[in-house]
Amino acid sequence: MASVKRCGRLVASVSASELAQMGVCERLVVFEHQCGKLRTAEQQSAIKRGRRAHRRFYRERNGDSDRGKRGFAGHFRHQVRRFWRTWYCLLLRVTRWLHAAENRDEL
Amino acid sequence: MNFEAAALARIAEFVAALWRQKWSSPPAKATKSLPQELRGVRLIYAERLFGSPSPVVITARVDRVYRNATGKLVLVELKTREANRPYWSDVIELSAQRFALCGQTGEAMADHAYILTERPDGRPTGSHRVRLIAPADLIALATRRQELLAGMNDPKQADFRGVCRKCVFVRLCNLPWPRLGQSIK
Repeated sequence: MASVKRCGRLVASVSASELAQMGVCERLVVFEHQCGKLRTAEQQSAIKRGRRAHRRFYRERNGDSDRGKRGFAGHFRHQVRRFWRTWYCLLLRVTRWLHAAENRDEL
Repeated sequence: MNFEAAALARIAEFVAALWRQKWSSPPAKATKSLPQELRGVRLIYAERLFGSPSPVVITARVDRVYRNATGKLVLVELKTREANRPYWSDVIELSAQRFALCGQTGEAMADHAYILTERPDGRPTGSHRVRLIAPADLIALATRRQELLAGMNDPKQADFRGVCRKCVFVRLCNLPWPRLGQSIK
């Protein structure tokens, strides 16, 4: 629990996510207060995944897409670029796979 | 011939994967997952930190806040999880967010909020409308938390066994229920 200064006094403050832990397990709240926050590898990766999802969620805040901001020409350019990037990626993968297959045959 | 067939199959598989990942635009997914009440309404806040004044100081970072047709602010929270359902902790978190936002801005808030769930791979699974708890109950919960941390009360155990399975403190936690304690290793 952190403290914030209000009217020259230190007042204990609690974040919404800390308070939400009360709905998970009260014993966990007490242990985390005593020992600090410990996370398993699985929990850490879940936290990272959640942060990534939140960043994306924030980028998407203005609705359907960025199409409105780009305009017609910008949107067309974006689509063309995406198309070529996709095909370039596909060709690269296929070439690599064919090379690998040829090497396998030689061996 | 076999080699060519395998190559074609691999290409088809890859194109299908690209179609799924790149050509289904994520922004459209986000809008589709919004509940009917919030489609086409104005977004007021996104990723903003709020703090309520005394008696209990609660700080909260909101994911999104929309103004609905009746002029009230509605909270939206994104959750990444396998299960397509809200938890009690989500309700507490959103209630705390409402308390903090209302305390700082003084605006009228709706007594419900939405939780958007998506799977760990980013696929949206649905939106859930939840009823938020009253400010008095939230203050009581914050007070109980302070009492627990001060050692004035005994903490209760988790209601679900799944919580204990994933908990790092499971060995430290001397579970009072032998049946539950024995099942968790």
